[in-house]
Amino acid sequence: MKETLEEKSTSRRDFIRALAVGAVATCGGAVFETARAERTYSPQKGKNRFVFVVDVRKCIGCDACVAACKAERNTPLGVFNTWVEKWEVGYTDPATGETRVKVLNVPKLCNHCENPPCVKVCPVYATYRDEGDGLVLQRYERCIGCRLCEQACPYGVRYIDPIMMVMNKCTWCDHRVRNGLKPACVDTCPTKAREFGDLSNPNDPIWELINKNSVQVLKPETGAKPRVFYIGLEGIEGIYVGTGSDRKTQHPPAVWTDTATGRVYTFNVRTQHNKFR
Amino acid sequence: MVESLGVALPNHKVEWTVLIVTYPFFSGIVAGSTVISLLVYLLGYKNLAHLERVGHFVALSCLLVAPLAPFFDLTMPARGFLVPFYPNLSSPIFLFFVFWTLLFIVMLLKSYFLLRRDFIGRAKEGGFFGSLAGFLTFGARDVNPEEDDKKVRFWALISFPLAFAFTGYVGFLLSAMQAVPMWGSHILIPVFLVSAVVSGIGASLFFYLVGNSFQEISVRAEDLRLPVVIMAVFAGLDLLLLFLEIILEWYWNTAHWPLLASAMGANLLSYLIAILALLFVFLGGFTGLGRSTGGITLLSIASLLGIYAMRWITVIPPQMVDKGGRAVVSPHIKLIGREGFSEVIALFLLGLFFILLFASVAGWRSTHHKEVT
Repeated sequence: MKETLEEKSTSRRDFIRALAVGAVATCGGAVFETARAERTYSPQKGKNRFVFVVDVRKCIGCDACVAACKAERNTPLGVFNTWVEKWEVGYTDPATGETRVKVLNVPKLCNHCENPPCVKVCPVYATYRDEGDGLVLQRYERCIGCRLCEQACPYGVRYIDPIMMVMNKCTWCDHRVRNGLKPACVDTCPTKAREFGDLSNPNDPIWELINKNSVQVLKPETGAKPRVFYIGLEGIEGIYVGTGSDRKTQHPPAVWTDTATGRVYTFNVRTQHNKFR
Repeated sequence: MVESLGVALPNHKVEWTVLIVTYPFFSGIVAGSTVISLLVYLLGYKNLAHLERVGHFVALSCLLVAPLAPFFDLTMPARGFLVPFYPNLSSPIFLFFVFWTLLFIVMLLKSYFLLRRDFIGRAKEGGFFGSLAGFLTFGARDVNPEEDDKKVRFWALISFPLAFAFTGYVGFLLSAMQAVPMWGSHILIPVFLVSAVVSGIGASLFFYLVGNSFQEISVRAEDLRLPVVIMAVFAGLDLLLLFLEIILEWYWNTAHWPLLASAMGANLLSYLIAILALLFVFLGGFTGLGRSTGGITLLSIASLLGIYAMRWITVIPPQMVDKGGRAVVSPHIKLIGREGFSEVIALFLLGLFFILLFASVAGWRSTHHKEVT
């Protein structure tokens, strides 16, 4: 009788152990299989290599691109997928009064980086980089709204959509470009300051634009490898406001004095949309 | 608070506010409380066993409440459960799930072996808490306290590194955000670890002294000398790290320093609270204050205030600096509503409720603990 009880007891323990192992294996396997499938999942594995080129020399700051983007994406009030900044760059020589100032209109938008920090930090792969065409996109239905991507983005382009309450961003109009059209802002730009192309096509005019001009990217030091190339920012991007200057004179315009030449430099940036904030 | 010193990028906003300030505060308390376990179970300071028991209740409560802070901070909290199902191993939030789950299991096991001897006794008393204690024995009727102590020691030693990994991860989470000035700093992880020791010991001492005072149990201040000194030393170290963090930014005069300085100026009150409170703990720990129960209670309150202010100045001012590098934007924190102070108060009350619940079920003091002198 005792032996029978012990046998039963052992058998029950074994059963529970097997049940536990089975449950762990099933759940773990399901989770990792889902994760593996999700990591490799991509809505479109296109062969295009899209890039964006902004020629700041041509931008007149008309904001048609901003309006077009708002209309195309139905972007809510107070948040922007693209905007145009006004940069004032140059110097005034206090000794001679010589002033050389350049005012630039600098359109900003998502850089769809090669090494996007926002994708790296997203806990649920709601932000992902399409392995085909390199677009950095958002799965709205999965986003949990932790805003890690917003903190990680060096360009400040990500925002919480006040209607959907999940992260949103510029998509380079993926719904258009994957159907042979150009992004709404590019189509609207009256001066062709914004250009969009496909590097996988050797005959694309974007090649000529990149090859014939000196192109720069914003914040290259972050290692994000941005794919919005700027023409006309040579020698400007990379100037850090505040270096060696008195903080009281920083806001705006940022002013600093080159002690070697005595020249006073200014670097003043304004966005036109601040009133909406 | 300043409104703006320049023109910010149009999408810029201070996204993480009081809830994310509170989250590392709770996780720090969890880690700091395990220091007392280490003193009792590794170094053999058995006179701290009662304090360790209270510290364990505090740690377990904070461990339960801590994840609720970032959970409430989500704009889509109902989807928070997706994280383990779509895990991105490169996301710092994934580490949270790993460390929290492991630590929770270890703390539960430690709780079981630490408290089951009391549950058995409590179950005999009957009533609601007696029935609950009876359930929590999980069928154990007769245990050997010495054998259980060995198991508690084992799980306590495991909980120590895990708890510090759990709170260190918060520093890692922030330092992974290289785009935000001051966060992308290597000094942030040591800051979180050191302040965890201060707040963990401070919280344990506070609840121990206040709880005993309510129950009219006398406490000998000399018994608490060691944790008070450790708290004071780490408060001094924390101050040093805080100064280093600021001085390094100022000395290197980084691109964002002028704006960061403005953001710090806007949070001057928090800086003052942090500096003065930590200085008070540091100096008080070595003077007569640290030798009386009233003084230790004051020091523990100061440590909690100081560390909460430290969390504030770590989380809020760097986010105020615009990524365009030309503006400082003030945070908008509500009193009532989502991401407001009301949620933080609710979390603190919930933590207090858990401490009272644990103390009610298991008993404020163990009557069976062999190590108690």
